[in-house]
Amino acid sequence: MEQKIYGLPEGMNDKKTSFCPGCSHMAAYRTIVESLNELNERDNAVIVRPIGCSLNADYSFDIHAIQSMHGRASAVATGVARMHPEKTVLAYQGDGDAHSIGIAECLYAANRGEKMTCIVINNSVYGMTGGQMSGTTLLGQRTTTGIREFDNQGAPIHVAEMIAQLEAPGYVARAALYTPKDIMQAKKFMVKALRCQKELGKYSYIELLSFCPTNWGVKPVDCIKYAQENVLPVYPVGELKTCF
Amino acid sequence: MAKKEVWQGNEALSESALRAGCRFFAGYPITPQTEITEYLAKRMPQLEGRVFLQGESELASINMVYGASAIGARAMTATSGQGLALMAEGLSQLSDAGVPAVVVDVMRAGPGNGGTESSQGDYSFVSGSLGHGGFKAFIFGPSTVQETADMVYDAFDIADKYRVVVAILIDGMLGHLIEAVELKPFRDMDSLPFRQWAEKNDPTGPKVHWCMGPNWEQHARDVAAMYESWSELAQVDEFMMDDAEYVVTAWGTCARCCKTAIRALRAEGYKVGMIRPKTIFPFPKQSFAALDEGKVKQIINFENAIPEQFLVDVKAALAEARKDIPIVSYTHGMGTCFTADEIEAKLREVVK
Amino acid sequence: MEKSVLMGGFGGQGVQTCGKLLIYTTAEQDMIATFYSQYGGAMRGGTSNCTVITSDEEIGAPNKKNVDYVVAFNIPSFKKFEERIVPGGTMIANSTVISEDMATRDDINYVFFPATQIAEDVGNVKTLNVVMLGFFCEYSGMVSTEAAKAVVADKMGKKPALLELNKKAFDIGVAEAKKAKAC
Repeated sequence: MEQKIYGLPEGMNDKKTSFCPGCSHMAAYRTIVESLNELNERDNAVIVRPIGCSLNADYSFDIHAIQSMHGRASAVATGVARMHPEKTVLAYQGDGDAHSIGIAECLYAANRGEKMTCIVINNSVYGMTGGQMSGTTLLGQRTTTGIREFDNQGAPIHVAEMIAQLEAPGYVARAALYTPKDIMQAKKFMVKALRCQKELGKYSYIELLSFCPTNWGVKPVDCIKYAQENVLPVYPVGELKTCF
Repeated sequence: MAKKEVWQGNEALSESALRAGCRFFAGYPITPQTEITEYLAKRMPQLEGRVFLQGESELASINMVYGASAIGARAMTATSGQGLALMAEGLSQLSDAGVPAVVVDVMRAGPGNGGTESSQGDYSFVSGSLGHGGFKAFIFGPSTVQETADMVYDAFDIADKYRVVVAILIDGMLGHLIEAVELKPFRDMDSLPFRQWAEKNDPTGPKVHWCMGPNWEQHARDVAAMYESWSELAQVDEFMMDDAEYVVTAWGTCARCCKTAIRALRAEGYKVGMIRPKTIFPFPKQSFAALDEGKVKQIINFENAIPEQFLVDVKAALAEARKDIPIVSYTHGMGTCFTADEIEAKLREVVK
Repeated sequence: MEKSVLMGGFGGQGVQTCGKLLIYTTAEQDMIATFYSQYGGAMRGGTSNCTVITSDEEIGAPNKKNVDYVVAFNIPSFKKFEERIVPGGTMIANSTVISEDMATRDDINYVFFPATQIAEDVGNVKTLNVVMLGFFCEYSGMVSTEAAKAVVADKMGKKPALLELNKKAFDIGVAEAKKAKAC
């Protein structure tokens, strides 16, 4: 007798995507969809999507979506949240998106305490354009626009820590999408972030560290080791601010 | 007729927008637009279901408008040239996604930081293409406070009907003029057109505001066809044109200054008239096509922009209609605007 | 028939308010009118001016170069705007600060009266613009003096004490204009 013990959650389909092998984006989507399902909020949710690799899963999940311009997702989400505070509003962004070109929109949405959850997929590189240096690129990391040096570009920027210092946000956390254990922790944080928004009407920020084997130049099987040795020391995971 | 009330241009525009059903405004202060942001900051909280938000930049403001409109609210922003430059990206996205909005540009002088004085220098920027990509806005170019109030009121309907951005192009002079106007009544918010495509109202509809896809090129063709269909919506003020031998072309506040000069010359028997487009896009080409080459001796263009911007549209309309009428053009710019006396003097040179 | 007035003074002398009270009055009388002011750098501390035009038909240019009346609150406005008065027009000048021998034209009328002194005597120099308004309305007849007084009472009456001062200032302005017209 066959028994299904693992599969796609309700609200995700198996339409073909064009993500590279080893990419973390689908793990991030899955985390979001599962968390929304758990809170019975998927039909009430609006996700504002960025420009970046996340576009490769255009129609893979069943959540109302608004496509924003590069970096502006938090501002678009602000407009949604202000007109419909009863919605669960998500801004799904990348590190280039939220931490570089759209840092003002990201920080100001946080500082105003918009009733939304900002989710930042941090893979320390511009993925969609093919591996250029981003604000979160690690020191010494090789990119197509050079190797990051402190004297030239400074240290990787820590936006989660900046947001955690602001008064208005209710929940700020960083999790990884590396090992199954990491992903389970990410899910736990995600549920808390969404509850903070829904139940307390506060702003939540959650950063998800992810792989980019193609642009890191690391084989997918080696990514966990690479990330644990290089990324986690710079970007430690954990809750930075919580309202529960 | 209701008694007219005295309103400043910027404030009349703001109040009229609220009466038309504007539920969301995000903006950033910039002279000479600031009174709009200030008025709405004070006024919107007094009304039910309206949201005012001062954005951290124009860039953020237009994207807030995008979010609010995509979820079903009539939304507006207002700025001046520099701010509009920052908004170009967002406006382009709105036009691609088919999310309507009303955007007001209260023009100030010059490129770069420029000056805060009045000018007509954003004409080409707004009418050429709405940001990158080549999609367009429906553009009103009023010249009185009454027209400004009326046009912004209609702008929301046009934006909703065609799912486009409607731009109101005024300048610092008009924004700061005070005149008696009759404002239209508050719209019943429940009677506003149903926005089936908006997230809130159509949970079963297309889930992504994003036109790119297998039919993207066809989408662009449809949009282009829609622009063509707008030609019958063009609005124009043909002033003393019946027997005109000298035709002034001007728009906005510059055109109303021309009226004073034209009246003065008419009083002396000179046959001077004016074509004043009230919509910049669609441009009232019909009025130019109707000109009689045998009768019209000279076209005289006035605008407060250097080099000319409006003149390009005038020439294009004449060329399209194959009208060979000599044109002479006069400009002011960088904050200096034509006075009626100067226009009168220029016209005298032409008609003598 | 258009009639126009250009008012000028230092920022803070209430020039803009004076012009606005005038256009509010035109609306009370269902007149066609327009108020134009230069803004920006002129807004704070510098010179401030505004033009009010009334007409019986749609008004074209709001930024009229040549006007029927100039109301000069200070010397710079007197000097700058004297040349913009049409022949036969009138310069109304605040003689507390502007000396009569500053007049340079012989094709316009000059009317001097000590507006700042009157405002100070009323008890608050801030009533200067209302003194000017009362004088201008009565002297020019461009709008109804009674209507203007009602507008002053309506718009300048937030604080009862100030309202009384403003009413008094307006009345003295009107009385001065009657005297000026008599001579």
